[in-house]
Amino acid sequence: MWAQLDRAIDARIGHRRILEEALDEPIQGGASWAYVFGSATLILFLIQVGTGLVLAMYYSPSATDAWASVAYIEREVALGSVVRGLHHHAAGAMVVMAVLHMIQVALYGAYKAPKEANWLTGLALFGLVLGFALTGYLLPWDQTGYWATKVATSIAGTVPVLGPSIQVVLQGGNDYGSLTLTRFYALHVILLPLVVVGLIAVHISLFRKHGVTPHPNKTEAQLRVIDRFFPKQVAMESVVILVMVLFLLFVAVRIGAPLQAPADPASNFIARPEWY
Amino acid sequence: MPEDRRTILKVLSGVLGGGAAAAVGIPAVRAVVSPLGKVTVSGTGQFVSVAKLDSVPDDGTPINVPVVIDAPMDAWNRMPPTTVGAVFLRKLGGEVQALSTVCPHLGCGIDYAGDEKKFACPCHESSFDLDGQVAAGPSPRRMDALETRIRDGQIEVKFEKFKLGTGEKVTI
Repeated sequence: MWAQLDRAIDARIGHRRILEEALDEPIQGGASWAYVFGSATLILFLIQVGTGLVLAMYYSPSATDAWASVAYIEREVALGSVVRGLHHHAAGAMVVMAVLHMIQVALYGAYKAPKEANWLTGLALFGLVLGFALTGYLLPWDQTGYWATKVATSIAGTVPVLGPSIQVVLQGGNDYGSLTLTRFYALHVILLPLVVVGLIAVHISLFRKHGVTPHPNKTEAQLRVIDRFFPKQVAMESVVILVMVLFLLFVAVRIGAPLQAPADPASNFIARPEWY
Repeated sequence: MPEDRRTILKVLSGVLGGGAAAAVGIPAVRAVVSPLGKVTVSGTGQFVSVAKLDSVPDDGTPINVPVVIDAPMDAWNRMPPTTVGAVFLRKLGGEVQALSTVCPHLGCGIDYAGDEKKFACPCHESSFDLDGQVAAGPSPRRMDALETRIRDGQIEVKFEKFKLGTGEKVTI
């Protein structure tokens, strides 16, 4: 019955060709656990989109309301603390997975000709991940976010010649305040996601153009082994992704995301950035 | 690859991927529907002083007065005295009649058309007589009457909101 339904839908929208194109990608040298980090990073990005959307439904980007709206998410919204915990820890996991992905492709030599363009888009994506981290950190408008971001924008201000102008543009004025928050919010939820989605599309299509870079020590015979992306590689990735997501869920439930006291410009808080 | 091994891998991917999607999806959806059955905006339902008794005309002409509530809560916002709506007040003998300005049809603000001595909703042309009964238009019920009481020459109205678009008057 399913096969019949599948055929009937395919006759109308032609989804099979797209699915086959996506899933039957040949993997030269065979599927490998080494290739899972890129997909894991992509899945983490999708988790950030989903949880971020939920948070945005409750969040208010205003210097007077931001902290209270985040506290509302933590205390009043059903499973709100879990969603926020997932968003917080998936952000950290994204940095980890992106670094592991970079180490893996660097060791296998995927930056070498003719794949330089994709190595560079990958580097740009990593920079954007850090941009998400920087802009997202401020949004709760609590002590850590407030002071750590103040330090970050001040560091930008020390750049020779252009520094002071960069700082004014980043913080949206001569001093740090409401406009800093709305600016970081717009970057975090609109501009950065648009740019990242575009670059991910480029990154994946370049990857599809060149294919995987097998381990440099593989023999001719080993290189002749060809697996399709689906199902073997997908199954490996599913295992890693499920373990990763369950771990994130565990951390989100048990530890959650920190929310310090509301930002207090009069205090002498010791600003500490996130571990990465 | 043998076909049965392929099938196992397919099912495995589906189950594991579905598990991962559920682990994130269930908390996310639960959080989105969190406002179901929850009071997020409070402050209505109590008696609010709206006008002096002698400010309402004795000839039965209705007047429109704002309803200002002391400190309503809206999610995480505790507001300073805030205008949350308006009512029409009208003297009927010794009694004061209060009608909500919210049109029971779809919630627009009803006007008083003084020259025609009727209430009229600008959105879909419902009109009501001075008692609030439907005279014309799509409104499914009469204008919503609100409970009133007089304290020390002040008119107090129990400010409530009602479900829209239904024949019955149901408090929300």
